[in-house]
Amino acid sequence: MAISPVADAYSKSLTAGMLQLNEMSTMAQAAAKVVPGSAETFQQFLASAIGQTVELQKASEKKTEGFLSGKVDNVHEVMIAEEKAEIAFQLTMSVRNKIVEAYQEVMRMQI
Amino acid sequence: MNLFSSFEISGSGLSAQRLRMDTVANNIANVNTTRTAEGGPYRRLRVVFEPRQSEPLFLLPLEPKERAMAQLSQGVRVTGVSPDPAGAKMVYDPGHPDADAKGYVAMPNINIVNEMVDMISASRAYEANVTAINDAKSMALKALEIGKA
Repeated sequence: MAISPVADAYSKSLTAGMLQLNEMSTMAQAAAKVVPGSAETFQQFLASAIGQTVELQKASEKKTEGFLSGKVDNVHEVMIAEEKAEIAFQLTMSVRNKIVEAYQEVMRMQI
Repeated sequence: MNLFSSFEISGSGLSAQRLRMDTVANNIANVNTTRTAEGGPYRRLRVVFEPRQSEPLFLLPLEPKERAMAQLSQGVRVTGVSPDPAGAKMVYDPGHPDADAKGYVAMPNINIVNEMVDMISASRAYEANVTAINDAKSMALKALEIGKA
């Protein structure tokens, strides 16, 4: 995520809003540490949040494979893993949409 | 507490109801089983559940919300499968290989009607857990719509 320095300043204020969005997500653990001005930058936070989404998708894939090969015998375990991955992905997408929105807002600025 | 805890809780309920369903199926399949390894007829099995409690915590330093979360149980767990203590049904059938001297056969203590009712109950409880999962999902997705309209 290469965001220009101007957008970076804007994204700092976005971080505060994102804290609340993430309270209800798995990313909460990562988000709890992100206080504006702390050592973890927004980029690092975003990278770890995306990493967690990817982890959930991998877990879902693993469950599906396990089900197909007969290792997992409960259908609902597969479905729940899938749902988790889907919700995490949608959360990530809405965060991404917000960032792009903010970036475009900055680009529209008259100087 | 995270977004997916309700998924885990309902998931444990789904597993529990599946086990209950399996037990009912086993009971129905063995409705005429007159000999077992322990001797005597098959005995009806029942599943016993207990709440799956999270580890007891030192609650005092926690915030009220966290304390409430720690006290909330995290789903259901199977304590065990126990046989029904009710006595065997004695059926008169002198030609049966397991008949006693008077011609009575000890049949399993299974009432097929009870098993059917248990089966319906298990399948409805399974549905209820699925509904809970779906609602948890729509709550999460609804939250994404905040500020959109």
